[in-house]
Amino acid sequence: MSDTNTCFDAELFRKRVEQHDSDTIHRPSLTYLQDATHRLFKNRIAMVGLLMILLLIVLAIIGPMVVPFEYDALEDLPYLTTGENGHIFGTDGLGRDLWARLWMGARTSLLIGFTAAIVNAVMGTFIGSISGYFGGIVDTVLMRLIDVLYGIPYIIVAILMMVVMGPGFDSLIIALIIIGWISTARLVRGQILQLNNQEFILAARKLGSSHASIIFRHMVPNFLGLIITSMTMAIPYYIFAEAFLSYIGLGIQPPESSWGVLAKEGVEQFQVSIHLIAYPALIISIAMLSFNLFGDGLRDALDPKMRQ
Amino acid sequence: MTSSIMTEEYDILHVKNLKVDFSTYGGTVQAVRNISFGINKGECLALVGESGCGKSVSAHSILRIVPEPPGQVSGEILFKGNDLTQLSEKQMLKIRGAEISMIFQDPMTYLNPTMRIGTQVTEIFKEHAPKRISGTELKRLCIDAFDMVGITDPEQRFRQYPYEFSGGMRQRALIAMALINKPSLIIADEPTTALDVTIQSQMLELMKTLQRETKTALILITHDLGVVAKMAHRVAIIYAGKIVETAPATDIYRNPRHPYTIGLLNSIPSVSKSSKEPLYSIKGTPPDLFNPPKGCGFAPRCEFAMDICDNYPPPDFQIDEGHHSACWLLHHQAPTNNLKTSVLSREGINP
Amino acid sequence: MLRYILKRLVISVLTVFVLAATVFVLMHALPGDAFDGEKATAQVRANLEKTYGFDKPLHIQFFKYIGNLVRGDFGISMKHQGQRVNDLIAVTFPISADLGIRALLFAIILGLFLGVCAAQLYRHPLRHGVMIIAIIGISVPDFIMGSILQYIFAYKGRLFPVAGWGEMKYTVLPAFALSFYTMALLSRFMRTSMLTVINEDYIKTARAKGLPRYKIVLRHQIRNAMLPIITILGPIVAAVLTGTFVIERIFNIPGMGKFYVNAISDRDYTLTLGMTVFYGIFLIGANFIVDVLYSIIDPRIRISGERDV
Repeated sequence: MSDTNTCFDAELFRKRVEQHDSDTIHRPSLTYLQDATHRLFKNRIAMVGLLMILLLIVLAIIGPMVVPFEYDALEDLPYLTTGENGHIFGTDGLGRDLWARLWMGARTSLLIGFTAAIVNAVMGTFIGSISGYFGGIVDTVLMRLIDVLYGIPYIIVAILMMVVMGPGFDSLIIALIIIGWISTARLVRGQILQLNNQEFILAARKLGSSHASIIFRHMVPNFLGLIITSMTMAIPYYIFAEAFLSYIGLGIQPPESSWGVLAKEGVEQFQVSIHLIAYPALIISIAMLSFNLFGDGLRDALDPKMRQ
Repeated sequence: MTSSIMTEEYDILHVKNLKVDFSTYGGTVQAVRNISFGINKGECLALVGESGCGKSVSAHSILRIVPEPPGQVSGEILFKGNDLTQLSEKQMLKIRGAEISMIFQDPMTYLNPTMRIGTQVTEIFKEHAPKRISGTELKRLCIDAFDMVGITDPEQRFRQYPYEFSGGMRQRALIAMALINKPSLIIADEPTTALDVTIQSQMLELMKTLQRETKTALILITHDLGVVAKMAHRVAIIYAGKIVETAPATDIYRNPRHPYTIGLLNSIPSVSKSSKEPLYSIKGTPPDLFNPPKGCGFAPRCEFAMDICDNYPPPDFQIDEGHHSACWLLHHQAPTNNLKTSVLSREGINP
Repeated sequence: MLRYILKRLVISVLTVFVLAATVFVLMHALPGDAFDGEKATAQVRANLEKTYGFDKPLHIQFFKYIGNLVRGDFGISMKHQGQRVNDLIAVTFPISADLGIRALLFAIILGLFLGVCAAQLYRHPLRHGVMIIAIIGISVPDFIMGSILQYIFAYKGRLFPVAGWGEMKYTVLPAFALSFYTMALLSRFMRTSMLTVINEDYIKTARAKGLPRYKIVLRHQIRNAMLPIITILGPIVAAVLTGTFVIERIFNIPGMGKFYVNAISDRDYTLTLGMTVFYGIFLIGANFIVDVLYSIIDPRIRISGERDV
């Protein structure tokens, strides 16, 4: 800092000629999506989760094909352990190859998880949008319906459905989606209600856009991130639901395989052979963990409050 | 530096060369870039500036409640002769709330919604009380404080929750909280900004009366020059993390010497101006504090900028007793300028 | 507040009604052979006749059904020699309730405590440790966790009995296993809540008052951080309840959960549906109580009477 009495070159006291461009911003500015994606990929834990998920999917697809055994064939001696006779994970009580069963089961469980999550997300978005967008009678009726249905415990409904429809893949899917859409619907409705009053929506209406176009092209993209996050977090929940229902005998039935079936068989026979529960337990836990880690990362990345 | 701000004596608080940086993901933000000011007993000093200019951060630094991982505070903060930056946390605990208290901006969010107001107000007293105080004693103290700040029906109010109070009353409660330990210094961070305009002047009247009566030093942080006129003895104008002008309150209005100050004054909508004239506002936007300007912080927006302004930060030039300004226009080599006549005449103020 | 409670009460009752109706409909949707032959003794069929009057028109059957429910009659088991469902519930439910309450206590106390600790260790290298345990806790399904714990601490470790129910030592492992998921959930939730609260403005006020950190945490932070937890108490009770199905099986505890699962695999339809309705009513009631609790605890609702959900 100079002294007030210092003398300077007289030139410096000339009035500045060019106008300064003082509005240049020095920090690169990112859009919301760019910022979110950037943060997500920087999150190593979430990326590990994502990797694991992809790995599981790959294994589910090619796993059963790697071994020469069929998942439901009473191939060999029962209760063989890891590596014996060419069985990577051994065999179960009926001589079936555990590796093949595990990855066939993975197909079923993952399929159920994804399907239920996606269908519920889509249904929920649809119903929630209609309810929130049109308001009025439609909204009131739907909301009352949702309030009541929401109160019925999810597992209870699933159990009821399975008891009546009988076990199996199809009935399981139906049971899982019959009420599952509700939480997404509420979420979406809330978002739509907030957006309804925004100016750009009023503008779109004035310009004559159709209702569908307004909802899906203008509103939904705003909270798409939220939907995707909740869908990702729902997948382990549905995988668990399938496992749970199968475990208590209501879901997939043997000889079909799913993670729940394997867990059931494993728990029942763990005193005879520990690997029957160890391998499925490990894989199931890793799967759920991966989805949770990735889902956490996704949620943190999309949270506008954590924007940097 | 021969700027007199450094050599003047202040008996309550003297802040010297305060610098506060924040390390963030995008780089380091220089929120406060070398601020010095002081306050005497019984005085009211107004720190005036736009949002983001560093005034709140400066205030928080005094009490050392700036979160210190992202933040980094350097400089001297002399309170009654002791440098607060050298004190341990334990020692600071004794000062906060007792010797120096703070009144915050938004009475809704700055009060714990799940705790009764009475409990929150007495908490500050209990924390610094020299010995155990009985519940009834505390209650009586609190009710007396409520009386002093004009909260009606104090007996009943004592047991109520924040949401049961109106905005103005909540602010009064915050004021009561700040006063109850009879501190030597109170820092009020935009105390009226969150209130309705009608309540604002009431609150200011109250604060002024209390301040004059209790002879507490008050640092008033605001962006509103109207508030300043009512309350302050002295004013310091802050821009982009630095003080650009300091003066007694009357001098700021009568004899502003920094282009930014003049800009601020011109921006006040005036009843006397003809409605045909557009509202004046200072062109441009405050600088990016990740990369502050090399020279004077205000130069990019200043009508009178010279080459030296872009390249060298201006030192403080003394204008009068207690009045200085950091502007190259005050250098003896600067051309005589029509700073005063061209701009002030808009207001009909005669230089 | 009263208005709010009343509204929730009405919705709860309505929900129970819908549930009962659904069960009734489903009862009639069962495959035709559900009640034939070996699956139901003559006595059972006679009772079903009496209760539902299969030949009477549907709506009359429905009213009878509802009437029975209101009087607390859930029907007769098909497999257990015509025993009344209520009696079976009366015997087995207290055991499950005992297990459940212990698990809830574990979960709430440990979960909140861990959450607070995790939040306080915000910058400490150890902070990941707690959260790793937590995320494992919510990822590993309870039947797996239960089996693992049983294997490690009972079977191999011999610290606790492997199975059974009776005095204290039988209850520790199952209760802990049951609590694990909920404990993990609560600790994550509490940690997030604490970290949110710490950025709130009134914490700055507390600091400016000169309060030492521990007092700020105890008096201001925890109290406010706990509020949002009440909103997930409902699902937590549900999670513990469904957990009993699994845990009781693993540890061979004669509670309602084990009975329920057996009923399902035995295809004992009346018992299954009867118990299902009971569970449903229980959970709906629990949710209602939680709603009321929330409105009492959050002073902001007490006056306004409405909650912006």
